[in-house]
Amino acid sequence: MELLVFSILAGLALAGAIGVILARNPVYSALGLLLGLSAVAGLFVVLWAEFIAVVQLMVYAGGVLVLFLFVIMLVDLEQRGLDTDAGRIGPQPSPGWRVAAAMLGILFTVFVGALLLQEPAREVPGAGALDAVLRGGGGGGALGNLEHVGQLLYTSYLVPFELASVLLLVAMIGAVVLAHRER
Amino acid sequence: MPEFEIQVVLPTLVPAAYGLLLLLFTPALRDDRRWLWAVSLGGMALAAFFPAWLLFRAGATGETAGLPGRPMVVMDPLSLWLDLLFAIAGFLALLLVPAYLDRARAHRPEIYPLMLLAVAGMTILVATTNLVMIFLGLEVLSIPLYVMSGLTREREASIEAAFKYFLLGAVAAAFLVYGIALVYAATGHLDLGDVATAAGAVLETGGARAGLLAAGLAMILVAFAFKVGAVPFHFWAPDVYQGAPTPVTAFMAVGTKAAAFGVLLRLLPGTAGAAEALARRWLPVVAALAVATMVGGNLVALVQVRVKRMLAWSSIAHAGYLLLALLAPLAIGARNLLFYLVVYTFMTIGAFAVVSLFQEEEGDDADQLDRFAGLWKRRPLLAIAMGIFMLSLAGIPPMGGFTGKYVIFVTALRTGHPVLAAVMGLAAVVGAAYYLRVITTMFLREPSGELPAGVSVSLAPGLVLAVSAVLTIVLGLAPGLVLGPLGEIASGMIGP
Amino acid sequence: MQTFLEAFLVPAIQAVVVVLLMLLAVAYITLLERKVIAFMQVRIGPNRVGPRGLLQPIADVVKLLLKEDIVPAKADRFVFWLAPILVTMTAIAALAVIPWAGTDATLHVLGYEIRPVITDVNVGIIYVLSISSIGVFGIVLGGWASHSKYPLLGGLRSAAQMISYEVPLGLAIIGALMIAETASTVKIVEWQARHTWLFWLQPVGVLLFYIAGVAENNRAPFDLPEAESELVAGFHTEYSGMKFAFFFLGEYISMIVVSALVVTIYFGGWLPITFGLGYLVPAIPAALSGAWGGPGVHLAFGVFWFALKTFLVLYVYLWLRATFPRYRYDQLMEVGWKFMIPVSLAWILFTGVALLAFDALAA
Repeated sequence: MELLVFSILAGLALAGAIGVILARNPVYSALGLLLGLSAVAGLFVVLWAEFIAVVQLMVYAGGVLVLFLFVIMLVDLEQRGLDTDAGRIGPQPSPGWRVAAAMLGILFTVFVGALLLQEPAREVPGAGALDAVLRGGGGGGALGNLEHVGQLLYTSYLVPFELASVLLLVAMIGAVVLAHRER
Repeated sequence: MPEFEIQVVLPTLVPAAYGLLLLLFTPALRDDRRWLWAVSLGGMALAAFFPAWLLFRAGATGETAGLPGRPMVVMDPLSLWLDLLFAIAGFLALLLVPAYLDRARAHRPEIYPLMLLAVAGMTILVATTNLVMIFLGLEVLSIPLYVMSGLTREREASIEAAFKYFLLGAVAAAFLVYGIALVYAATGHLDLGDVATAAGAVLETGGARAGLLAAGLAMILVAFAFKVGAVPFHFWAPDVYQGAPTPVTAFMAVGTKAAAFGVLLRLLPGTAGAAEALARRWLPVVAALAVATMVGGNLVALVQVRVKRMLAWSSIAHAGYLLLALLAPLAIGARNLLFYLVVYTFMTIGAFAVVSLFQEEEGDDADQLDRFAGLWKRRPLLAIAMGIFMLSLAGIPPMGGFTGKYVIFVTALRTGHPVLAAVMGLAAVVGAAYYLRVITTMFLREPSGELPAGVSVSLAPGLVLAVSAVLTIVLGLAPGLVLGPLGEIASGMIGP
Repeated sequence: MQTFLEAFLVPAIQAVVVVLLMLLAVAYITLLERKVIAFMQVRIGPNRVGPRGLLQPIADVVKLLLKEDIVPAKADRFVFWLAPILVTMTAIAALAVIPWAGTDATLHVLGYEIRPVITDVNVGIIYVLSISSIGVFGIVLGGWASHSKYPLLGGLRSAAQMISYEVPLGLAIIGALMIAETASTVKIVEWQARHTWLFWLQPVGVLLFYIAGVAENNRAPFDLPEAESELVAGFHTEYSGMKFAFFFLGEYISMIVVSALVVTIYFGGWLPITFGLGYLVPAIPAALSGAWGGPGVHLAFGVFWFALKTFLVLYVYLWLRATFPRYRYDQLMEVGWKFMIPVSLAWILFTGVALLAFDALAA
């Protein structure tokens, strides 16, 4: 059962990701991204990490992606988006380079994927939780929840957590500094 | 549960908190730039004071913070030395800022807090053995640099620099994260010490995990090769160095390089220390990078006609020498590397400080080589200072640059890399050609045309020039002053 | 197999029941809205279809179903179709974690356990927030797909507005979560059964949450995305027939969701209205929640109190609409960023300090 749910969600995530790069219309790319991100959130649910799943939806889909859409509409890529080369500056890479780059990417993916597939199954927190619950074993809900994440963030990961907040602040200030025009 | 020791994060906390506070008060101080500048200089001085003080107390032998298990933050002499170096580089670069921005007619008070935050990022990067922290540190360091590169928006080159740096930097960050994920998949750890221990076992058994580990480490290496500007990951460097405001370029060239090499010092020998097999794998890769970088950087620098761009290529070449230092056994390699970083800091900032004075009336850089013609007859002191930096960069005795190159060369020769040493020697000879061309232009050619408007040395840039020049010579004449303590630090370094 | 069915079949049936109830509720809320606003404006309101206009919603539904479904020639057909579905689906999905009676109202039918909530996840409240943040897509995409300037402007406005108000919406409830130490919708009501309404402890939180909720629903006085005097009808200008009905449905269900959430988090959910003072004389709330009966009685009482409270909160929506003029766009943004967010952050800080002080005093 878990495998089935996982396969469906993973397939959706892949389809979304492929849609992002293949869609000629940027709005469709954003929709593909929405599909992919939601599917990943679903994968987190399968791992019984509800909080992470919900945050994934809220931050990426609800926040980041809406901003993407906002910008896409503001700059009206609708017309230009159909002709993907129109906005480019500088010399174009020759088709050979593109093919080579694509091949390299695919090769690397296959390489890493093959290595990961050879991995023996390992105990992952939350794995099998769905099946356990469906068999009536109860459990679940204990992992990946609010208390756990909070506990970790404010003990072991306190320094990185604070650092991440500084990082986000710096990024925000940077964006404002670069984009803001006086008068 | 061990107590959280606040002093361990002090070298990071001071510039970060100072930068954030400064941001808060920038609007209030906006009209009084000099004041803002002075305050931020004070911040840099504080950021330099704390690591120096902790280093002086010398009780700082590996106190750590973070709960529980492996610490997130490490404080050891290596991190403190580098922290000190970042703060000094930041201080010197800050001294150059107001004069440059005034002439560029760019009123950008944000540069002061951003500079402090970038220093904070660098201090994190060298003060941790945790891969998550390394990623965060790299980003905290990089984002202010992206922004600062684009601050002089009046110049198109500046915008181009920010954009290029940001896009390629984002790709490098993606490489780093992917690499970290693969390393985690292979070993199940994020702390370098644990990773090294697990890597030994993984490599012994071989198979899929060994492949994942190799792929992950390779990607992490790519990310840092990008940050130090090693060939073939250097394409961003010339454009970014040229486009960014010159004081920022000086800071970037020195700080980023030192921080990235600080990480590499922990990363490569650290993992190799636990797994001899791993060392055999990455050594040839680093050697190849070093050769490509030394040769590529020096050859392309030969044909540059703009001094700022020439210095950019030269900084790529110097990354090659530093990579070569990394190949030696840790105890001696780390000493050579750190020493070279110290020398490199002063001679590079000094050279960029001279370039930062060469500005057109409209604020554009006026760094064409021809503009330096006959500088000796017009501004003799400036010409002498530039001469010192060029000689040092070229590696000619008695300058500090010579000592730095010499120790790396000799070590490479003695530790079984004669071919690499030979390549380094040849590359340095080629490099000397373009540095000397600047000197001949300044001293032998007749002055022609107008002198750029900015070339009237005021107090702050003058201070930078004087300090850099004196230290460059002192490091050349009495290298033992620094080499000694650095040697002690290096011999005390065992992997994390 | 038993647990499999319990895990899928029971929630599915519950969901169908809830959705059907919602359709009915929405239909009559529209009538209610027209009547209430008419009353406030000293008019009569719809009174032609059926006795006192009671069949008006049925007539409206028939009209919407039979209307021609127009798709603009240049519209992006797929997205045009997708947008209203997204709006309605996300609004309905948020209902899944709203409990309408206590756990003592759990029924056992044919050996299946039927709890009075479709699912109780331990992050229920945050789940509602994240689902509602997906709803924005429907509106933005609907505005874009129409290929027409007013809908596009309406869509952009709503994107900016909803992003801006999602932040205080999320921040406002943190105080309540800190006090109750849970993000589960069921557990937070149970906490209130043991102590008191969170409303008394979080007055500012309620206010912020409700204001942000109204803005999140694009309701007056924050209904700029469909400001008729400027944008015809905003993002749904080009929509007609059933597609329009879906936008309509989504908006009203969202209103119900926000009201239900306010009731659940701050006003004790299914608990009887004792103003959070029930713990003083436990017999009173016990009698008012049908403690003498079985689970069926509990369910009936729970649903009654829950529905009553939700209705009262919903009524405020209509009240607001009849009373307040619409904000101007820049005012809206200023209220969101310069007032709501700082105040909600300060309120979190205050709650935290108060909690610490309370703990210190108790110890």
